[in-house]
Amino acid sequence: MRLGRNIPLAWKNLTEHKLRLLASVAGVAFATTLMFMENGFRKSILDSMVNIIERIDGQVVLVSRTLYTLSVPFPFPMERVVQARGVEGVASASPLYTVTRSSFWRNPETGREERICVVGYDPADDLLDVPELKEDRELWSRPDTAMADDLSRPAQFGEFRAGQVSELAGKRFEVVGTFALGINVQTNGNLVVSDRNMMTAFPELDGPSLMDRKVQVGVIRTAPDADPRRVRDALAEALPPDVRALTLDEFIARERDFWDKVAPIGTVFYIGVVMGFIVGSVICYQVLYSDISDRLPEFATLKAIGYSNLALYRVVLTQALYLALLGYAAGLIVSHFLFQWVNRMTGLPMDVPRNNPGVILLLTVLMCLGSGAYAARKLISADPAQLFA
Amino acid sequence: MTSAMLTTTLNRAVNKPAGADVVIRAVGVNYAYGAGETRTQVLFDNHLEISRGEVVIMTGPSGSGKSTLLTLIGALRSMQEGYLEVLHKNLSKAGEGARVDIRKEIGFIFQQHNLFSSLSALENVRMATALKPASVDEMTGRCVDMLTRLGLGERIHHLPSELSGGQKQRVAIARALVNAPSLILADEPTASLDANSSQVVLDLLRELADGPSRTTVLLVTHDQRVIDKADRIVNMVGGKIVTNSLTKVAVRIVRALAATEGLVGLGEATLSRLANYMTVEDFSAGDEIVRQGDEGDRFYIVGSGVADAYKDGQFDEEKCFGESFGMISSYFKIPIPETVKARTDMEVYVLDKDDFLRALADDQSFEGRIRSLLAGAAPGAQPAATP
Repeated sequence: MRLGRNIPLAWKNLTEHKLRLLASVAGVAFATTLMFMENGFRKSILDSMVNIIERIDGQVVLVSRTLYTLSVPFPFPMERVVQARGVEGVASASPLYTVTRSSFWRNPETGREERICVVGYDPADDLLDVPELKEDRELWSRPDTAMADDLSRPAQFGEFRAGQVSELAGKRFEVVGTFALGINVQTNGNLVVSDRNMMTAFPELDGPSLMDRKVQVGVIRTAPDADPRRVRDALAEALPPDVRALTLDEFIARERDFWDKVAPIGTVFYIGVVMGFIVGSVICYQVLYSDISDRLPEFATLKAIGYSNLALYRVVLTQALYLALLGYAAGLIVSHFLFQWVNRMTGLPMDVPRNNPGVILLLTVLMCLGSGAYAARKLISADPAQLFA
Repeated sequence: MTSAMLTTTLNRAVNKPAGADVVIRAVGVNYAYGAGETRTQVLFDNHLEISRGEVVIMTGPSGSGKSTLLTLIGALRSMQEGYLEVLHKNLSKAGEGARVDIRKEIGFIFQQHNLFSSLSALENVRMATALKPASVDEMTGRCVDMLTRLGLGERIHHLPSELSGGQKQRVAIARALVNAPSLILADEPTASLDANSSQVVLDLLRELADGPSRTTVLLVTHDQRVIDKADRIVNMVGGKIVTNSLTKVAVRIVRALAATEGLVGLGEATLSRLANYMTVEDFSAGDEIVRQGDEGDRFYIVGSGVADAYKDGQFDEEKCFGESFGMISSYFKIPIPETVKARTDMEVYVLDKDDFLRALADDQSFEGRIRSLLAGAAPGAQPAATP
């Protein structure tokens, strides 16, 4: 066995006792997994809350000035959409209706009515960028038909399939096809219907005239060369102040911000990430402190023969880094399988790539290095003079 | 204060440095633990000079301060009072960085091996070579050579848990010696070694001291086998160096004292203590060493060579190895009783008045012997065999 220039003391110390190594790595992996899961929940919930908005096929939207989240109905009159069509840079303006709180679908298997999110628009407008909805446009244009979200929770709705007949808001509806969109913490399922069927199911959205219909989102497609921000500004100037014009990205950001900071789902899970970090720090500190304590005479000997405190710090920090990387790798694998399981159980969009693996790696490394630096203070107390006592 | 001004005032032959190149020079070194009411002084005004290439043994009872002095010399503690120069570097006001640097020049051997259980014997020794970096092959080669010299050539890849206590200690010794340090500080290095291993280690230490590197070795030990290899023995009691003897000279003086008629029967410890007070003087053939009738203040004991004693101008007797002459007139109240001239070149061991009085105060056996000699002699007459 040929030795290198430097003796890998940190690695040798870490891996000397296999069971102890296993326990140490498991501890760090636990903290890493905790951070992954908390961050994953936060991210997936925020993602799910903007799931529909992200699929809107438009560059600018109109919403009520009082709207703070799409989940709460704050409609504005259809007249604003019509007015928007006359603004420069607007290629088209279409109404999108949503009902999230007062819409119920009867589960044909159990007979129970379950709350469901219903989105309505003119099928010809293709307002949602969902392939199945575009392909089956003719089918769900027919009266009393709906497209159902395959990713809706089966526990509430059973399994949606074409030809299934049941009731939406007490009216007979037939499922003519399915699509894949995904659910969120506000709703366990989604239906998409035509604007006509929307008015049939929810007449309260209709008004004395077309101009009085209660629109939740006005979807603006801009002219090919138009800058969405300029169109937004032009709309804000042209339309009365009861509506607000936003670029699609701004709309997404506002919605995420609401759930992240105001609701505050994001803050709760942030605290979870912090807790994971603290738990990991404590575990890592205990592991390294215990190892340093066990080897204090050896470290004192190194100090005696001329190693500086800095050199010994480096050994402990390297050991902490190795622990971080091993713990992260183990945590990554565990999190991957947990994400799959949670996704299957809840339908929440969870997987490793979308949950900032780089950030979690950075947090894990910082967690271990911080603990290592704190534990390494013990080295200062390693008095080489005591070796002659 | 320059180092030249700080030469110790010790002037007995046995106390003089063996060579000109002094690598450890301690002057008036004091040290205390704690502060305020809990302050406990453990070193008191210690003076010591050790030359390059010397093998020095430090002895003394537990708590005598030898470990504290060793840690000061090893730059493991910062100095409080006094002057300390090690390897020509002033440690009196050295900061942590300077002390770390000088420790790289020192090989430390502790009672406990303190090997990393995670590293093989070779890797443990390589940890030391990292402080004197060279090519990988050169560093590994040095380690393998040292381990092989210490009889561990077949076990270089073994972990400490696979080695016996003695083998582990030899690995620790290899770690201390692998960088060819200028100074070796060792605390009971042979305590856990069998006779053969001890001999190998001691031979190696002696070889380093005598070799081209002229390494200085300072050992705390109670191992009598080490004495044969030592140049000097430093004995500490109560935080102070009480004796500091060049062992070869001391052995010669003790042998001469043991052969002296008036001291026959005194224990080895008493004779050693007495030897520490004596100086060595050389005389050429024909030199008159003492003259009859003069007021004397020294006793002489013949170490080598032959002298002739004359009384009233007539040849009286021959003075050979172990025979004494001279007189401390102020104590015994008589002048020098005979004239003594060197017949050949001579080495003579000398005890002057002050040291004679100190020796009396220090050693009850010696004092008792002198009192009995005085009691057996007529007032105003020369004691029968003094000393």
